[in-house]
Amino acid sequence: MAGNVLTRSGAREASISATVTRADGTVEHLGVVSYWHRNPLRRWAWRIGRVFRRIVG
Amino acid sequence: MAALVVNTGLANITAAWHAYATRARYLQWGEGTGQDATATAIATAGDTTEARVEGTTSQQTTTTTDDTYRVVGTITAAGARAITEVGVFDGAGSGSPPTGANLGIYGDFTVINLASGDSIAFTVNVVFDQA
Repeated sequence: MAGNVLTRSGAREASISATVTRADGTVEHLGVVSYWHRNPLRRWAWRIGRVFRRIVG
Repeated sequence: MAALVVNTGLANITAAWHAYATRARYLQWGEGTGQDATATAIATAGDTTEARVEGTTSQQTTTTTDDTYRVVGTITAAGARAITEVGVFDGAGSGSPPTGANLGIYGDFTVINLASGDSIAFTVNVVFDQA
């Protein structure tokens, strides 16, 4: 499922944030686009939050 | 009785990773998804001919001092792209799209559509704790 992040370690969590800069100079801060937490409930909560932000955003 | 890595030990982990000569720091994007913990490369390079970008690594603080390893780097599109994944490798690799070296960190995400000249600045954080 898109939105996962993997790292070869015993890490607690990992995330990837992205900022897009268009060729015309426009900047789009996308925030955290991919997230993983050792606790599956935290991963689930992040996905739910992402869906919610899309709806209200 | 308990045995654990204390907070200073966590900082040692990220310090060691940050100082390691062949640490994961080269960013490559792609147009696939779904790699798992056994992956050695991004899922689909597709038409992403861009070279891997050497990111800047650092120690950061999320919960306890220096518990986070960070890689920051920006890749610029050489043409229209539909980016859905990024990998962090321990080497630049070779070829176009680049291959080789070892994948250390991987993430996939909802598509980011780009035109030629657009770029994405990625910030990759890996946080450690005692559990």
